[in-house]
Amino acid sequence: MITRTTLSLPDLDWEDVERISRARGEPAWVLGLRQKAFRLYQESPAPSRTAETIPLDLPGAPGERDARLKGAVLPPGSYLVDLPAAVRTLPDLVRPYLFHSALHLDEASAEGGRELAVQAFLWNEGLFVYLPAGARASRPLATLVRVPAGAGRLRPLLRHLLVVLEPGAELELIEERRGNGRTGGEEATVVSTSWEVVLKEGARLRLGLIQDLPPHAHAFGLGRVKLEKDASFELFLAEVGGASSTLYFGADLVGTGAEARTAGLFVGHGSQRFQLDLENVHQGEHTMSNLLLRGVLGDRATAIVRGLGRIRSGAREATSNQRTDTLLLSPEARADTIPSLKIDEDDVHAGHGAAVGQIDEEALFYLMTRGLARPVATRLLVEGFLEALLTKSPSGRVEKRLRHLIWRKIEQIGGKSSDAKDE
Amino acid sequence: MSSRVAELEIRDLHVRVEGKPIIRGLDLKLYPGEVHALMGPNGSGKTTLALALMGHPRYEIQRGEVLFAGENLLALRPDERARRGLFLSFQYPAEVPGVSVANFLRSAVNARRQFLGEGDISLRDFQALLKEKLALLGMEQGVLRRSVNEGFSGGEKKRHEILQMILLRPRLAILDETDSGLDIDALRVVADGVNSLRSPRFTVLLITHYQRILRYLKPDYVHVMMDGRIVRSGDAHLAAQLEEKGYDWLREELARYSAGSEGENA
Repeated sequence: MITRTTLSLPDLDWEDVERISRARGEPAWVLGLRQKAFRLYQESPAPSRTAETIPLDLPGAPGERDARLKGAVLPPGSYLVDLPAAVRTLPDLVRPYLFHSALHLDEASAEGGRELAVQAFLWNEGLFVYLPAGARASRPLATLVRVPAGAGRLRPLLRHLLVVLEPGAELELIEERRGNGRTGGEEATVVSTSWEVVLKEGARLRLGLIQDLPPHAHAFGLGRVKLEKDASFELFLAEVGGASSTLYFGADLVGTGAEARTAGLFVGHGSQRFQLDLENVHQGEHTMSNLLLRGVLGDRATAIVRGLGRIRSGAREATSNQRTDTLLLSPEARADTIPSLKIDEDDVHAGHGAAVGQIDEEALFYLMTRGLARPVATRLLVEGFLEALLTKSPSGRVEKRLRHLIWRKIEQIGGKSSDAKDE
Repeated sequence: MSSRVAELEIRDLHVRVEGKPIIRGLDLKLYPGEVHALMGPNGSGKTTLALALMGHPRYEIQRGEVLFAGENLLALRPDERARRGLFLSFQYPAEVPGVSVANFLRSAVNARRQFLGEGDISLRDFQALLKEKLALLGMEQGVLRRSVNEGFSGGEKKRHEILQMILLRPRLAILDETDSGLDIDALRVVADGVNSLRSPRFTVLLITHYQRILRYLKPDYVHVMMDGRIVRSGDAHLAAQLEEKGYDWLREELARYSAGSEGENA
């Protein structure tokens, strides 16, 4: 049995949040959203007894604005505003979308519904990105999220990213979540992020999400993209850090001809736990989704990967494919990959596959007969396994960064003790 | 015989694969600089011998001793054997998806150089070396970007094995049917590759079914293996005899001999 992770709010009540919201001068409609979310949280079914439940404190004040964004240049008419400010200064643009477009509080499903409620109730920082019709960002927007450091006990970070691209707009956005540079001795903390994306007709977004949090952090992620006619979404995921990482990401292909492509990798060592729920929902005709995941797990690391392709009635000639491959480097590592398709329409093309395997012993032997010691040969095979995904990185810079991260991860797998076994 | 140290000395070797005895009491001695051809019908244990010498984990040594330049070979891991200069050209080399030939070759060359105390090769020197050796073997530069052995034709795999051998400069190379499935031009290229290394410090154990490669790679000795043992040793004439008369002739002769010796015992 692989342990799941979820959130709880044992010591929080509505008054705490109301007080903070008022102190920040949030408009009444934002307070209303928070209130609704709190009610949803209270109504959500209790997590299963086998799940690990991480208790949440009140988040602290929003951190410093990411310096990388200060020099960002977007086309005229665009907005790149901190979300707490945007709800006050751009209510007409933000209100119709916030927890109301892609992520929908009214439609919070059982899967990830609890996390969505917590997020909408407590979010304390984030970004609003808006591109007007036809605007094309010439350079990628890169943002770095660092684990906040508090005095003594660490505060959770709850961040919401709202992206709205008007018809024909194009953007590339890369978000990396990392430690604050300090190491050792920290108490468990939570970094919870949600991404809400609206892509109008013909809009295109490439989104890179790199999760490289320190070992004491529990990552939660909740993402939803709504695609209108001919919109295109490319998601690149890299999950390497954290004590646990729980991610729900879904794309709603509403408009005719919308396309969503996801490529993701995860690399776990020690007792890291990944839970990835990825969903593509086809409503429009001629919509296409593709999901490609590769993961490597060493030591006692575990992963639950669920990919769902859902094709609703009327989504004629929709195409939905998914493939997950996991490489286990130790007998105690576990992967549970569950691909599924739910199809309510006859005229579709759909396929799925999943495989969990070990290192190819013949390939390992071959490399060793060329003088490479077992750890070196193993590292080469793991890199080779992930190569097909690395080449899908949103940019050369990201690819380089990921290669470095993966190199470091593979070094960590096995630690000192299992090296000794081999020698 | 001289008191020289044998490059490879195998004494009473017994090897099992998945519980089944395949090599059953094999003795063989190769001196530095010699070329030995090992022939024998399918299933006689030639490839098992090659893989057991290289240290394949599925090949279980039950009994016997193997000395490589005087050192106990069987106590070493496959990578240690390789770094000390033992090389096997595989009959069926494994595919390594996602690992480029260039990356693989450079890692292998540096592992060997480290053992020889030469330090890592610079990228510039490595590129120059590769260019020269690829040309020698009639290989395209494009091969360097491909995944190791993935989608390679039979001939490409064999040339790639020989390329590795040339780059790694082993003391002892075991060529397991490297000539099989090659057309005459490719065969000559492979043989030229091996011959380019010929020296008193380079010893070859050539496993083959065919005499034709022996025209290009002149063996000092020819051995015939049957049922896990070497049953006959000779010079190049033995290979010619086998080519002409097949193995049945030898099998019958051995049967007569063993019947005769049983008669004597009785």
